[in-house]
Parts: sequence; structure tokens; C-alpha cells
Amino acid sequence: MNTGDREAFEELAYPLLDSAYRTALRMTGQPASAEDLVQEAFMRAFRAFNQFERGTNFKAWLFRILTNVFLNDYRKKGREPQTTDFAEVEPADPATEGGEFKAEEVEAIRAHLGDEAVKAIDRLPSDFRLPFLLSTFEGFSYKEIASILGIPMGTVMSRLFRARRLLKTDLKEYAKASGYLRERK
Amino acid sequence: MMNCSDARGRINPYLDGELGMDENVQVVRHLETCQGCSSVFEGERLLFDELRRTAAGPAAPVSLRARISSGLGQTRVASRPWPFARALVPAAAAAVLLAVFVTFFASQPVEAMARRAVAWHDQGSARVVPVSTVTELETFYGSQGKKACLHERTVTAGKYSYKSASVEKSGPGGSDTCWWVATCPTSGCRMTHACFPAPQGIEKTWPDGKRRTFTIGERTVIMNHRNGQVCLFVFDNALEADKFLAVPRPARD
Repeated sequence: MNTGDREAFEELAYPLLDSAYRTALRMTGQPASAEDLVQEAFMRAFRAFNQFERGTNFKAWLFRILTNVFLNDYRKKGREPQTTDFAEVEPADPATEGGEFKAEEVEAIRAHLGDEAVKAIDRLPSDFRLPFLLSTFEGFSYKEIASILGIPMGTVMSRLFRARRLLKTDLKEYAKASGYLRERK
Repeated sequence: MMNCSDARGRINPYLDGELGMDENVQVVRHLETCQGCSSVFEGERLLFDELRRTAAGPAAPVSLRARISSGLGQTRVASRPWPFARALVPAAAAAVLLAVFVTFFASQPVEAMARRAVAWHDQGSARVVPVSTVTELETFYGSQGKKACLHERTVTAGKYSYKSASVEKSGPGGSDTCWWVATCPTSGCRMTHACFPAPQGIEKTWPDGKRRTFTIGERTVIMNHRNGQVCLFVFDNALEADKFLAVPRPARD
């Protein structure tokens, strides 16, 4: 085996371990499954490393493998966490959907979000949760996400925007119910 | 002129840095005059910044890295295919091409970088917006502002001065490559410039301390490899590149 390959791979891959793990954790909902998922993804990536074009975007390449392992192995076997159905009312006009937070409202609830944000993310159906994780937490572009998930860019955008809408609505409900935000008249 | 509905309809791609320059500028202009939308955009940015700060998730357990390392030790990389294995090469021509490809493949990664740089110089610089303050930069890039590279003061390099900033998420050096766009001092042409960590193993074919020059179409790319960093400069043509090289090495302010 070529030790140069292993060094090159480790140099690229280890800096991404935390990102991969936290994404895997939000994908699977369980630390043990997340570890297994990352382990499997890294092994597959290493076995396929000769196919990676050096100098191109390694993170996107690795995350494509991570996502494929998740979708093929974890989702199929029903290891996905339970999600509740959102009563989805497609807003006629995004500007009037009412989920928006004004700057001062975010300031008001910031300190109180705690676990609720993570729970809200976990409640997203995985089709919406994945684009959200890849964009908001991992900083991938829409085009990169489309490539990672193997779906058209338009689909990425609609699922991502919907995920964010759902989160905002969820968090707003929580904030009002907990008394951190007053009802708007 | 953009109205509130148009602006808010673009809030996501705006904050993600995915709008084209024209639309971005229109949104910024609308926000400058509309307190309502400005507050909504600010709220959106703050909320997702907060989520990023607190809800992204924990670091990987220490044991995971050890586990992976152990797994790598037991795994084999599939043997590297011959460079042009994927191309259909007639058997007769293969022997002739062999010698050519050995050297070509060795230098290809660096030339590939130069090509991508030229492509960015020609097409990608639409994403460049001249900004002169950190606030303007944050307004433009929203929550992605941390990835942008801005000189707070004008940088003078020889006769070039530049301050404009841009973000390139998948430039030749990978994500987070910073690009600067400068104006050539006498001709008003454009010069683009980026620095990034030297890719792994590049010193095998391109020793540290060496300069390489590429001509790609009309453009000239000058690339320096020094102290583990690659810095490249793209010029519109060879004449501008020559002028640049004639200037003594500048001191940064």
C-alpha cells in the first residue's frame, strides 16, 4: 500500500472529522450511529481516494460519500430518528408568512434557545434537514449541495428555504409559548 | 428599483452569497432605504448565526479518530490508474503518448490551478463587489462575512492598489480562497490575485521558492510557491504581466 496516499488522505480528511461527525449526528440522531457512519464514510473515501482529483474540493467529495452512506445504509434500515409531520401550509407570499424574526426579537430569545434549536432541527424531515445542515452549518454552496445530494439545484433551494421557514415557525412558537416573546397583535 | 416583496423573496440567496452581483446590489440599495426589510434581514442573519454558534453540534469523540486511523491501516487504496486510463487511446499511439503524459501528468495539477484562476478572472469576478468597510462587507455577504477577505486599508503593491474583496468557496486552492481584484495602474486593465496553502505533495514537481508562468489563451498567470503558500496573479495579457515583473518586490502596508 502506498503510504504517500495514506498521508495525503489523512492530511485532507482529519481536519474535516468534526464537521463530518456533527453532520452525521444530526443525520442519525445517535452518537453511536454517527460514529459508525463517519467510520464507514472515511473508509470508503480512502478506498476510492485514487478517484479524487487533487486540488479540487475535497470536503464536497467526502460529504458526498458520507451522504450516500447515510441515505443507502442508514435510512433504508430505518435507523432514522422519528420525525413529526409538520402541518405544511405553503405560504402564498414568503414575505407575509409570519415566521420572520426581527433583530430585536432574536436578541430577546437568544439566551433561551438552549436545546430547543437542536430539537427543532431534528424534527425536520431528513429531505429538508440535509440541505439545511450542508448550507447553514457546513457552508456549502447550492451547487455543491446539489452535487452532494444528487438533486437539481432548484430542489436544493426549495427544500433549504422550506427547512429554514419550518425552523423559524417552530422556534417562534416555542418562544411565544415560553413567554420570551409577546404575541404580536 | 426593487420593492419589499422582491427583496424579501431573495433573503435566502442573499444571505447565502448566491445572488448575482446585480441583484445583490439592488437588494443592498433597498435595505439602505427600507427599515422594515433591513430589520427582517438582520433578524434572519442573527438567528442563523446564533444557530451556527450554538446548534451545529459537538466535536468528534477522541476515540473516533483512533478508530479511523486503525481502520485506514487495514485498508488498501485501489491502485492508482494510469493517468489517461479513462481516455480512449488507440494502442498504436499509446507508446508515443507515454513519454509525453509522464511529464504532463506531473505538471498538470499546477496548470489546472492556473486554468481555474483564468476562468475566475474572466467569469467569476462578477462576484466581486468593491467594498470599503467591514460593515459594507457584512451587509453584502451576511453570515458568510467570515469567509470574505478584506483589506481594511488600501494595499499598495508596486503601482497596484486594491481594497475590493470577494469570496470564492471553491477556488483553485479549495474553499475559503481569498481573491483580490486590482486595476492595472496605467492601462486600467484588471489583475486578480489569490493566495492559498500549497496543495499536498506539490513540492515534488514544483519546488518551494520557484516561480512558474502560464499562458492560457490571452491571459498570463504568474504563480509563486513560497513557504508552503501558493500566490498567483492573473493578467489580461503578457504585456501587463511584464510590467508587473519589472516592479521591485513591494512591501505590504
